[in-house]
Amino acid sequence: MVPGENPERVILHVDMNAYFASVEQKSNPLLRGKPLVVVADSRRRGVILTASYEARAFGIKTGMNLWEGKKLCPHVTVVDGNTDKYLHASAQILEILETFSHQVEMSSCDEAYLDVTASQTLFGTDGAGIAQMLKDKIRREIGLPCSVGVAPNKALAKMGSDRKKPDGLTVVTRDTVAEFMKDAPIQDMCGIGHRMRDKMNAVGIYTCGDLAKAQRGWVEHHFGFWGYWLKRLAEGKDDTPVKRINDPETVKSIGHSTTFPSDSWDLPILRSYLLLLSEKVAYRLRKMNLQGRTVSLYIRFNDFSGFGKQVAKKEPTDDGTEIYKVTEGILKGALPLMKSVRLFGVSVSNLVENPWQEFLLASLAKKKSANEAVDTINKKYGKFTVKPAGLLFAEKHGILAPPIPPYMNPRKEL
Amino acid sequence: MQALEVSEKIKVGAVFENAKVTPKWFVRGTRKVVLQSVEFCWRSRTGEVPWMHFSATDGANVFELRFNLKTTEWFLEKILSA
Repeated sequence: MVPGENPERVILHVDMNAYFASVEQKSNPLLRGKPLVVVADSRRRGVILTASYEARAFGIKTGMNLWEGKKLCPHVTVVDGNTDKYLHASAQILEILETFSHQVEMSSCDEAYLDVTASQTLFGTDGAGIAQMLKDKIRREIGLPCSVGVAPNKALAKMGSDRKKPDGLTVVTRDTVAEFMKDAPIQDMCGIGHRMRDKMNAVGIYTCGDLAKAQRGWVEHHFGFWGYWLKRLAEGKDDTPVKRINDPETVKSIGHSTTFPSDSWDLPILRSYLLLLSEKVAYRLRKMNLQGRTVSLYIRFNDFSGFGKQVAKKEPTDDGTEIYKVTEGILKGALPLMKSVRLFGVSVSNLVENPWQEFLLASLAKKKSANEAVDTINKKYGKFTVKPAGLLFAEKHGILAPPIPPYMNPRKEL
Repeated sequence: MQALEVSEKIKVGAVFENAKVTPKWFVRGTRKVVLQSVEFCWRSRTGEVPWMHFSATDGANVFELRFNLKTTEWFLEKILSA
């Protein structure tokens, strides 16, 4: 047993199956049982966000371009994603999960961890029993399928929910960990992407069992401390706690990324995207009463290679212009661009709670008041009703749609 | 499947019960459409205006309805048919 790890812990990982597609099939009976893909915007660059299981049977996968998906299944139905719909369903799912435990960590809009250790007494059943009750309740009240993994820790629970899809229930106990991990492909473990998988394969590690058996020194020699951490996971050891949704330390960074409608070299357009993303990140920071010291920019090029850099500021910020200045500096450092850009991601980390300190400098106080006034107006009339003038360029190029008055098209927030 | 974007104001008959709204029928032009079931509903906001969206079916077609929680106006957003 790992020191500090509670041997009695029972963790559930809930994974909503093909979430966006399932919500679309639930809301539209005409789509049920049919191959369907959800894309961000079918009129622009169509990247498949998720595919229904019927579409997956044709080989369609998340992240494919729409044209690739249509090649595999010409009669596939294409649906534009609706964030409001998915977030509303997520909130309903969270409500249900919280009826089973107060320790719920939503790791994304369609995945959550629950620590049900204490709930077993309350419900008079073990983790598997609670998992089945939870699956039934989600199916009955929201009409969506999910897979659940039940295990002594988060890593194993996550692997468990991945094991049987859709609508699966996998239970891993301390006695069955070795058997469960033995033949599991190494890439099934959290933290192993295709690059790490290739590196592991290159030294003869193909399964979690292979990694678990390897000597610690040998693993550290090849993969450093990260290798040791992965070896522990392969042995089924993980003592990370389930963090409640309201725990302040849960939020480590705030970020936004966007894939462009078409790849671009054009610096004014790229700067507009940076400004837009910086403003979005700043708005969320202010909304959460946070400020951040470290600003990062990630650039993905047209060949999917990437460049990322982060810069630490002396003072934490929640101001869009400040964040933009830093990201623009990073972009300048990447010039001249040898390839066109496909995606930008802007994030702010090293977060601190906004201390609401008295600003000694008048210029900072003015900026704070201006941001507050803009946030108040935009909250009332919709996002980006008031915005930096630099975003007018973004609007002109279709990067940011102009604000539509509620009476004309109130369906979506911008 | 065919989708027709409509976005027009309509009259709706709905049941308000236990803090829930369930549209039962609507009139578009001279035609009354009786809804058999609401398949899904969700919320959204535009600034301070909260909206409820309903995906409902008359057995043959699927209708997306939108309800302004501030003004209690109803809109027919979309008609989806096989």
